[in-house]
Amino acid sequence: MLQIENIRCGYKEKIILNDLSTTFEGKKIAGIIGPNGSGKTTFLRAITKALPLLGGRIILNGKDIALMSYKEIAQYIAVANSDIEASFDISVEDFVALGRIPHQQPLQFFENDYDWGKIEQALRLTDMTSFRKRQLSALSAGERQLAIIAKALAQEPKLLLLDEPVVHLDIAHQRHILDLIKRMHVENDLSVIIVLHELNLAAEYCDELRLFEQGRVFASGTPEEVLRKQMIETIYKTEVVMAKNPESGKPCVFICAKQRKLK
Amino acid sequence: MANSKLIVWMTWVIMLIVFGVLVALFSLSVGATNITGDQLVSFFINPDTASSYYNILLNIRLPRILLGFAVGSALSISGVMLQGMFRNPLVEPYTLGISGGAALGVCINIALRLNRTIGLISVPVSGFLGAGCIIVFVYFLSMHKGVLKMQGLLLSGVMVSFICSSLFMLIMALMRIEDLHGIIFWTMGSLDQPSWFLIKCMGILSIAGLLGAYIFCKDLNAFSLGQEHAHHLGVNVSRTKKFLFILTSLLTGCSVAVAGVIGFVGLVIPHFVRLFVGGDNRILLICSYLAGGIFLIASDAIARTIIAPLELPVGVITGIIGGIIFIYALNRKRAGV
Repeated sequence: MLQIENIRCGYKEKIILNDLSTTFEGKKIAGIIGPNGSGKTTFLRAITKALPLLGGRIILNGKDIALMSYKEIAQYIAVANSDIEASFDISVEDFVALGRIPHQQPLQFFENDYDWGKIEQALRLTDMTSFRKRQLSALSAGERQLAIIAKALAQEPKLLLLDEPVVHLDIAHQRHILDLIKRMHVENDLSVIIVLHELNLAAEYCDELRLFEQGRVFASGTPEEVLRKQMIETIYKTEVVMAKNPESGKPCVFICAKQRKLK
Repeated sequence: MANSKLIVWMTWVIMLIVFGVLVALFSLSVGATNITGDQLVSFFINPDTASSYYNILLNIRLPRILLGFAVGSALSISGVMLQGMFRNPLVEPYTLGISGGAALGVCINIALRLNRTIGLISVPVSGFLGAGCIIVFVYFLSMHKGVLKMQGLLLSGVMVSFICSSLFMLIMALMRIEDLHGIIFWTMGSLDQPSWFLIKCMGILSIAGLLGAYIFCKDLNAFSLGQEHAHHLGVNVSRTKKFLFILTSLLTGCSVAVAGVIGFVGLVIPHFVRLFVGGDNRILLICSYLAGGIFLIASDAIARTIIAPLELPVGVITGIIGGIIFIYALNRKRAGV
């Protein structure tokens, strides 16, 4: 569905992704993990053509994205970035309605019934219906993240990209949002690529993981295959303790304070 | 759901149109010679070409009203487009120095007497070129590592504006006395434009500008989330920006060419309209278009009557009102600038 072939990508001063190749097949939740600066966010930007490639190519559903219009890409891929901020006051409902833009004709200025159906559905799925008239700026961080996901769902994507959707959220919200994503994935046949910093959440929710290091995919596979003590310690340069989640059996990564060890 | 919003929007548009007609009628009736309502009505029912009113109404006041509407609306939607693209409620043709650039272009045109050798059409063209150069210049000044820096944008706009007015004065100092009078007109802004041809051009351009901008209203809505997010919504960011920059330069350049520098219309009007109808560009563009035109007609009526029979340049009125609102808005939105 999404093949990334030897891409080179980055900014003027610095190449971030160097000769990166990986393939996402089938309907799965794929997690991207890796240390800060390993190119996770840049990778997401490259997939949506927000950042031009300096080499290599990206094939989306059999088509080279370089040959696809932005609109075509947006009809297929939705991005739910948590750094979103509207410059003017906008209600949740109007915000979610923006997600319909890629599906509207150039001279279609107003949402039609089909658009409204999708907007309603997205609000319902994210439990945001009662917030629809509220201003986006007045929402709490958790509600805001739900609104952002609702907008992405209104976009009717086949592939959803999320960049750290649960950062700065408490565990209740973390679980709520990741459960929601998992449910969307199962019920709506949605593929998901999700950047996560929290390794234990990545292990719990993702079907497969890509471990990034210095602009390359260092390891890929199931959480059990990727989250191994030696691998984590090499990449993150930090000693860790591994265990298994007693409920789900997924791998867990613990860090221990240095002071304690010295004793 | 959707329909209730449309009804609210239609109500605003109709209210503005009604209000606009009233303001236009008021503006027709006031001036050095007051024309009462009865006389105005009888004039409309039975136009008497021989009466002295005919000349005043049709050849003096009507052109001003048409020009006022065209210029006010053009500047106002330019403000909406710039604010949408830069995501800053304080940018507009005047604060970004675009009006200044257009005035400089027009000034060079007159100093070189191009308007006499090439023809009147060269005046709006030189205004457009001046505006276009400045918009590109200010844009690249505030780009830093490929990201638009908002802090620098207003500051560089004001500085560019300053440089333009200095160059403007330099040209004036070097000019022949007999050309000087024509130039001063542009520095203050006035709707006293004798050429019907330019008024017609401006009217057509203003309507075309609204239609052109409206095609991009959804893109502007997407821009309100930031360029990257607009991109994720399938907007071809660079192409849209290019088109809107050209459109803004064209509208501002031509407005300045026919009516001089009229500041702050593009700031005040979208700011107030947004308070009432919200930030959705689909309605904001139309309402700002109407309100901008109405505002300039009303300002002109004030400028003509406040110290009658003398006449103030309309730019003075908009400048005073707009400047105060700019300071107010700047203080309120300080965190966001």
